[in-house]
Amino acid sequence: MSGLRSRFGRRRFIRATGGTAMALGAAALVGCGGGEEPAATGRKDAPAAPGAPAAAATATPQARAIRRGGELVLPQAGNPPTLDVQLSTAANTTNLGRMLYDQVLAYVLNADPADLTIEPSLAASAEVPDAATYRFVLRPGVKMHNRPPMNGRVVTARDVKFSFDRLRAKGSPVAGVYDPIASIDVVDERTVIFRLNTGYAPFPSVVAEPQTSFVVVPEVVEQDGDMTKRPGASGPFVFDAYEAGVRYRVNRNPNYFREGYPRVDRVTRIIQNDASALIAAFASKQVHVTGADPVVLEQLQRLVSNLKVAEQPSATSSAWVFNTRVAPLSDVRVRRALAKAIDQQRLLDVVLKKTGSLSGPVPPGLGKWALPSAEVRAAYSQDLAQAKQLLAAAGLSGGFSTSIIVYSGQTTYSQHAELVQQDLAAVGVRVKIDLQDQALGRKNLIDGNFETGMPTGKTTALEVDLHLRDNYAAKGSRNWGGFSDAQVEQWIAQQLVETNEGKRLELTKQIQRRVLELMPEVFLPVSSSRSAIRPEVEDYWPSVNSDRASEVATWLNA
Amino acid sequence: MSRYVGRRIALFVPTMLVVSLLTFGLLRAIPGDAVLAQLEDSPRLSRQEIEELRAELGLNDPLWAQYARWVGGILIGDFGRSFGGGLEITSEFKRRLPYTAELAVLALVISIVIGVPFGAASAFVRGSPLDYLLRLFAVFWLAVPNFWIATMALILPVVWFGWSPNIVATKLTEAPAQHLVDMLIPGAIMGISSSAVSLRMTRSQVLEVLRQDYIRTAYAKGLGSLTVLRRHALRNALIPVVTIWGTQASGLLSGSVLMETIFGIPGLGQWTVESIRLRDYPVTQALVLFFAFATMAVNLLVDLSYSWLDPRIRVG
Repeated sequence: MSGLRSRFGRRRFIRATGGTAMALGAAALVGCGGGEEPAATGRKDAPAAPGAPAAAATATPQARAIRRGGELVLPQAGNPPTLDVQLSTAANTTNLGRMLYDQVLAYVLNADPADLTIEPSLAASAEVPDAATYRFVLRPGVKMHNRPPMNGRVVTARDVKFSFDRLRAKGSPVAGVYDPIASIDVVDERTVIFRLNTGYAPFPSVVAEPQTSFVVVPEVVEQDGDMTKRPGASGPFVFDAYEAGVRYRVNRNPNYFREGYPRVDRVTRIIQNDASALIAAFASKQVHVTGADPVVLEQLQRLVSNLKVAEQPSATSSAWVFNTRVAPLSDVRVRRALAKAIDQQRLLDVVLKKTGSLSGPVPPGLGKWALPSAEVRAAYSQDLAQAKQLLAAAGLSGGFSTSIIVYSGQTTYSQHAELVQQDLAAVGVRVKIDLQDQALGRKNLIDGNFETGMPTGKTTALEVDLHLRDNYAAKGSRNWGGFSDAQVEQWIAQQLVETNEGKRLELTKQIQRRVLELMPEVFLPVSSSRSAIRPEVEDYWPSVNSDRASEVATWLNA
Repeated sequence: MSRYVGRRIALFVPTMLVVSLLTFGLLRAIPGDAVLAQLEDSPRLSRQEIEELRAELGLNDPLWAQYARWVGGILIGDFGRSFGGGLEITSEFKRRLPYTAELAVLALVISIVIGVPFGAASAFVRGSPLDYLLRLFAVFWLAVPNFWIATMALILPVVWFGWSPNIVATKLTEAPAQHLVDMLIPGAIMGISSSAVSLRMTRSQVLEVLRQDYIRTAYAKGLGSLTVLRRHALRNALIPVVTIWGTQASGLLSGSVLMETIFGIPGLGQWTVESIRLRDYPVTQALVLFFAFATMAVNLLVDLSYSWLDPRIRVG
């Protein structure tokens, strides 16, 4: 381990990258290196040693007998749009991806949803010679799944290069995420160097990006053109079968490099989105876990005694977006007036049934990167008198008319819009709720054909930069309202290269405060994600970002 | 007869052409963007990249070129690929059709088995408590929506016995008995619901026929009640009922969406809903064409059955 420590160059890594990399470096000290993982000893064994597999790091503080085997059955809302996990960021595809593939770096998986530590996964060590160069050495002897065409061969640096080159290639739907990479060089079988265009502080989060940064098998892509026919590489599970509209199954990878994992023999995800069907399935033991809003949870608690409930704060912001290009919404006083007219607590209590929290530009799921809740609450305190004053100052004492685009079928947003409509009527603003099919609504937002909108599809990323730059930089891909502010631009650029975590944290907070001041959108309360878990299921932690749920660590105690 | 069938089949061609034009045109007339719908929440795509994807899918070509490409493909048996994931439509169709067909056949059989005998019985014992009971049964199934019954079928067994029907269907080849159970429950819900219409229609037709002179003659010949009903009344009463079955068969084929969704059956209905939501033009177009074809084929069979049921009717 000491050898690994020195190779990893922790101090150097932290100094050079700061931020997320600091966590990465710290985790690396306990997270990497072979031989420390718990041995799989028959059907029951001792709990994982701290820091062994990522999934077990903080999950098993006290000794417990872990039962191995069995089939974990989880529901999934829809079909994976594709089985090629590098071509889609849809959760329905990512759910499969994280079981079949590994990552060079990965977000630590544990029971604490606020822990956004990044740790080595396939990497054994990492070095950061300068702010624009990252050198990773892979663990020795990690094997691909034992099936054609890889037939259990060892994972190499060439696989890493191929994977990231494919992700950033022209035509890749996620190429933008990998923009910072200038080139990737293979040094030897286990060593790969990422050269960036410029210093990019959150780069570890790009390598650990949980939706698509998987290390894949070049032979599969070269032979088949994509990975839809033969998904899988070196991940904890091996692909078994997929039947669209019904289920897919993966089986335990007996050669998985983290010894003792995964703990179940098989994971089946059944494709079902009907709430009643899922209640029945959970109560009759057809599924082990299901999402549960307060109403569903109450029903489930009546049917299943001792069920467990996991609640995670949201990593997705939810906003009422203003088109700042059009009057009167181009006037910051009008935007502030609208924000002041809304009773956010009522939205939280009525629409989200008190299961959630107010949110600023960065959602609470991102932990310390989000503004403190008291600050958000203060910014959003309802004040109708002030709202009227602001409107009068903008020459709109008689109010005005506007519309809100809401995607049809999005009940939460429809209810938000209805309450906002009621609140705004009190200050003379007449709101028309414009229900639009999602495909149409999204097009109108992207094209700027709207006054205000409550869209879904804000990022679920765990990296703060993606929440800020995409939404508030003038060229941000989700800056649908055309917001532009020189100060925000400058701070966004600064935080991108700031390697001191404390300074970067402060910069990101400044950006959020500035956004709250200029109000290009009003942030709506975000719901906590709640899961009902059957009593026999252990170590299942739904994450703030569903892309890192814990199938690899979960075990069945019955 | 064969000339009649030939003429009817020949009529399929212009009808399908019109359906194809309407489907193609209306789908593109719906506001919204197929590429954005497909991408769902994919991050950080520039307008240029979206345009490139649109071009890749051929959506920037003139409409006539897109239509010609689609129809040209159909003529050689190629329905194209799904926008989402590039799935080959023909092979996916072959996988899904048996589920929907099985569900529709089960439902239709249950509908007939319940609707006709009970309808006839209801007419035969008109005004009796049994007649009222059967009419009440019919009205109940007409009034209560299928999805509510389906929900109850899932939830109530859990509350009472801690058991519930499967929420996704088992493959026939994996576990035939379980597969049958999985299909039988939604099939029964659809079938019993449809039987209400057959029951009421059979009842009214049998009542009508029972008033005819030839029925009186049959009784006068000394035939028993059941023989009169079976041999003389029912067969003549069935023509309008068969017409209803034709309509129901088409409806069951294309209208099993709710049952397929609730019971996790990967049939054509489930696929249709998904393809419409995702603006998956090639899939939606192929499915609409199929449903149109199936409706015409069923109607042809219904028309042909008239001459078998009533020899006075001749086709051709």
